[in-house]
Amino acid sequence: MKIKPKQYAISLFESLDEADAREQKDIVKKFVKTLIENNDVSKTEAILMHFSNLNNRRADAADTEIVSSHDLDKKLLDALKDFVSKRAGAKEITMIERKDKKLLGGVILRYGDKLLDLSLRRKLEEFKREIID
Amino acid sequence: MSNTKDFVVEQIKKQISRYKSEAKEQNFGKVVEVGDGIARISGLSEAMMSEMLEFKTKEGSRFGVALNLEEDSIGAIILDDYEAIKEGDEVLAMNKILEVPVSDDIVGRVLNPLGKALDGKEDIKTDTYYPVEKVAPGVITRESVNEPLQTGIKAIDAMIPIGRGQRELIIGDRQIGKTAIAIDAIINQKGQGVKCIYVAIGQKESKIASIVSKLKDAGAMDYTTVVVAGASDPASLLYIAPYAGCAMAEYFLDKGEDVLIIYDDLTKQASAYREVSLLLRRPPGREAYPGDVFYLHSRLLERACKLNKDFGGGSITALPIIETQAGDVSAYIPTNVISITDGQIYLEPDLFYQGQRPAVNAGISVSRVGSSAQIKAMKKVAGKMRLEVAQYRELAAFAQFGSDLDEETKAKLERGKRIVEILKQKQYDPMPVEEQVAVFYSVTSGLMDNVPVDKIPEFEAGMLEYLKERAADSLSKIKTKGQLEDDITAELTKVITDYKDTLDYIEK
Repeated sequence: MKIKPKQYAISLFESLDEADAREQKDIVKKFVKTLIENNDVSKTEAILMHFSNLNNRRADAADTEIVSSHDLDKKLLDALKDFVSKRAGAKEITMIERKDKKLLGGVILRYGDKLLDLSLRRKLEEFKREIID
Repeated sequence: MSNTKDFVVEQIKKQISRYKSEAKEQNFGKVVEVGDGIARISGLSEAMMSEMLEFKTKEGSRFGVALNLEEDSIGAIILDDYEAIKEGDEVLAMNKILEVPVSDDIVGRVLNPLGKALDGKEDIKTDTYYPVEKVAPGVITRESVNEPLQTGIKAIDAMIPIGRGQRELIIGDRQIGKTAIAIDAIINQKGQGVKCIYVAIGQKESKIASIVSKLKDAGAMDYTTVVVAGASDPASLLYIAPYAGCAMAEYFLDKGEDVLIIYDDLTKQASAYREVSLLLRRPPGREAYPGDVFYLHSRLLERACKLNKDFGGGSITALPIIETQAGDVSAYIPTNVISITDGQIYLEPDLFYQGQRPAVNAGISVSRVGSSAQIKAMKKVAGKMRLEVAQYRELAAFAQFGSDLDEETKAKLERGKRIVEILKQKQYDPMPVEEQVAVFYSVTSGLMDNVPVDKIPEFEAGMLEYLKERAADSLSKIKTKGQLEDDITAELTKVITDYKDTLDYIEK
């Protein structure tokens, strides 16, 4: 029988949950071995995605990707973190920063499966469409 | 010069001041798997059934529709070319159900199921969009079919009458004149106040081009829209094409107009839907069609309706076309659609090769609601014709074996031969209802009994010319009143007898 990435992720999450640090290392090793035996190494990415989802749900946390054209200062980052934690209803927010010059200005926020595009590029594109039509 | 410049600058300033940017929180996902026109997407937890999705690819945006909402992924069909979409591409939910642009400008155009122009003219510009999938009008809004829809085809208007708001299936093998009937019906709607929509599903572009040029030549593009999902288009477009066409029809319906819509053909749509469903891994059933293939057609054809006065009084008449394999009407899709529609026009290969064109089989073809919409004059002259034709076919088969026939049988056979001859009709040559009544009157009243059978077409054409000259009043009375009164029949008889006197081939 084929095992789905989500099933892998759930079993890994559950077995890691009750173990201490040393056992956890062992479990991960065994898990990778099982993956190789089942020829399911290609599913790793999907498994990790489900795993982090499970982890976030447990810890009431949300990974947030923040894309900006310029470096953001600490104050702004904190404000954004606050904003996301309110919108996503999560206590703990992990920020992942990325740079993209093409945005021209503003930021794009991604948390959970939500996206908030506050970039200058989108506004200009929208404006262009408005003017042409 | 500077004035115009100022004006332009002023206009641009105005537009800029009017523009307001708004950032909305959007639901997004990532493509997990893509191929064969479908995509599997993770995320998008708030996606709706048949919601439009925007795929952000390196080559620009592509659009799709969510069809399968599963526990941790979404199955979607892609409406554009799917080669540009790669695994990991971002997908945004557009917060709207699939819809098509509608306006009065769609008349006379050739469009694809998404409302994009295919005729080289510019795209439809409108703010009005109609959802592709819509629940059919309910009981309260409807009334029974009571107004005729003249197809201009003698065999149909006389024996299998169609009313506005009816759903009449045209069924038969390939290459037997199914499309020809539909096109003739469109051509005959000229001046009848009926908008026409022809939905071509999975057909060769060359066939569509010739149909469009025929419609143009006949002046029928003034009130017709052609919706095309060609043979080379993705299965997803073939699948939504009839619904898109119906949405366009509903635009006119809501304005209280009468619409004739032709789905040519639903067999190909069912195949396209089967393809999509199997790729989405829905369980296959009979003939590998998914379980909801009946609903596929019933929800489409249920949208054909006749609304009552309180709801605008418009109507949508649907003529779906189904292609059978070797005359097998008991296959899955044909039986489904037969049971959904209000009757069927069955075209038979044997009749076709005997030269009986249109090859309508009067015995199997029925119209369950249309007879109440037939005009009285037609009912009077053609009422018994269906029975007579069916009896003639039986007798003719029987009479092949014996030569000793009584007078009554002989007379029936002779009458039958002439009726069958009258029912033959050239393509792209629909006949107005008043002329049909005159022709049927002359044959059923026995005025044609002494015209040789091989001279019937010639006699018919000559007689109509003669009638148009000498009895134009009576003809127009039939049209306006819809009745065949005694003074009209008397005049018709007199003029036709006069005409017969001018001919030398009449047996005295």
